[in-house]
Amino acid sequence: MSSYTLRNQIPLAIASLILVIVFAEYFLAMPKAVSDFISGLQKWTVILSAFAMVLSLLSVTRIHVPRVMKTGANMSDRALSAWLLVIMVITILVGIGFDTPSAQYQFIFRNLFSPLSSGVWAIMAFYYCGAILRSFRARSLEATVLVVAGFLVVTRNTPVISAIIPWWESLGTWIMNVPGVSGMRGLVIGVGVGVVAMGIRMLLQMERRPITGEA
Amino acid sequence: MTEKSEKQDLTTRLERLDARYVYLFFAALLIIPIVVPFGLPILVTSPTRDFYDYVEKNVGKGDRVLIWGTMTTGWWPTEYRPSIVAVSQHLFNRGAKLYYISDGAEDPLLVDTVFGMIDKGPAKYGVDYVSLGYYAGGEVALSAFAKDVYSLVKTDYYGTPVDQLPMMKEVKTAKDFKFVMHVTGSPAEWLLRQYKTPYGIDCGWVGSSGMVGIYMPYYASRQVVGFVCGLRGGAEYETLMKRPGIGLASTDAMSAGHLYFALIMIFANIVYYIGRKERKKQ
Repeated sequence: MSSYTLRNQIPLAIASLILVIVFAEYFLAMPKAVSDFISGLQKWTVILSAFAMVLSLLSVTRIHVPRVMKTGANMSDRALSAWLLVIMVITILVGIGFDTPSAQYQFIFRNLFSPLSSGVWAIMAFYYCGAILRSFRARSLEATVLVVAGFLVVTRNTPVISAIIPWWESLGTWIMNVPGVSGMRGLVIGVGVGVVAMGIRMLLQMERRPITGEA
Repeated sequence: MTEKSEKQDLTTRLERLDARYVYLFFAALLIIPIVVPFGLPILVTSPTRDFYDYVEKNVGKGDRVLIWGTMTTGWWPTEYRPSIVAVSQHLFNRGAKLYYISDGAEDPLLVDTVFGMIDKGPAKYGVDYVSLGYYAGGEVALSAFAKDVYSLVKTDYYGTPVDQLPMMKEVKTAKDFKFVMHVTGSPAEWLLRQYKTPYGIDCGWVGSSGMVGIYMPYYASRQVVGFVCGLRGGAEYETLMKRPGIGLASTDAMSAGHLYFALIMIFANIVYYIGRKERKKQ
């Protein structure tokens, strides 16, 4: 058996077979053995997905350890990378040592991670402010459409405006329900058809990129 | 200096206005209503009302409700907390049995926060509500749980084997649930693909405010009973429950912030328009 077959044809054949079985099991009543097999595959996926965490942990370590060790690099970069690694190791050790529902882990989560994480998102509001002030201008027809749409969305989502001017809310709802829903439906149906087409191409082994990288 | 050049100078200065003043005013606008609430009115939108009405009319004592979370801590304070707390409180008030599970690593800790924020009444852990923890895999985990609860879940979040939890003996597959809701800011269709279409279970969403446009087609076609989105959705739900909470307390700040955004948009474009006109005249 050639190495091409081993590397490309067999993985493609396995992927196609599993695709057919999972697809059929969703739409048809299958024997218990097949359903159990699918359940097993799903459990594998859950476990493999959990291992993605380990991969990201290794990736962070691989990027930041050399950065800390690099002599002559920017001192603040080295310090920040070192800080990241120290906090990461402490959190992992507390999580493993005391378990995640423990008071120690909850302390880290509630008092460090949660405020920092929320703070980062809260800063976005100020970026929006700056972006509106600097860039949200009707410079062309396209930009005017964007500005008008942005204005409608912002005001429609303002609770006090909806309460004081109910027809404004109705106008916003109409835009959401008629042009918005039509556009979204078109998009969803288009994506659905695209996914089906991609599935068929994979089944027929016309789509090799996910495994072989070749067109 | 002539009047014309003074005008031009003013528009140029306004166009180059130091953003720090804008930020400072914005921060003040957000903080003041939280410290001294204005009590601005709020209108309840139909997706929130329909969600509330569904729970009120269809979910009763002992009905099992699955709450699948895909939340993030960053969005938690404003996007999820008001809605999930209000909806959970409503479900507890109705006497439903609540099964919390998630595919977001941070979710079980957030669920703990929910438990701490609501009045659970006589409800007991393991009998009336349970936190089943985090399972990676996204939609695949959601599907695995629907097919066979025990194939995925062996213990609850606190490490108790599920066979020791009385309420877990009542569920085997998705068919054992009356209602399923997904608390999420991204994938909208998982619930429909894995619960609504194959099992015919009633579904609803608690989402971030940006998801309204994504959810609307499914709500319009009645594939979901309704949805409660973001801070506003939470405030609307609290209004319906006549139980003011964190959502209504923050609504004034939201109104002030959004109005400010709208005013900046108008201001920036007027200044830009005048400036452009002046530049063209030259």
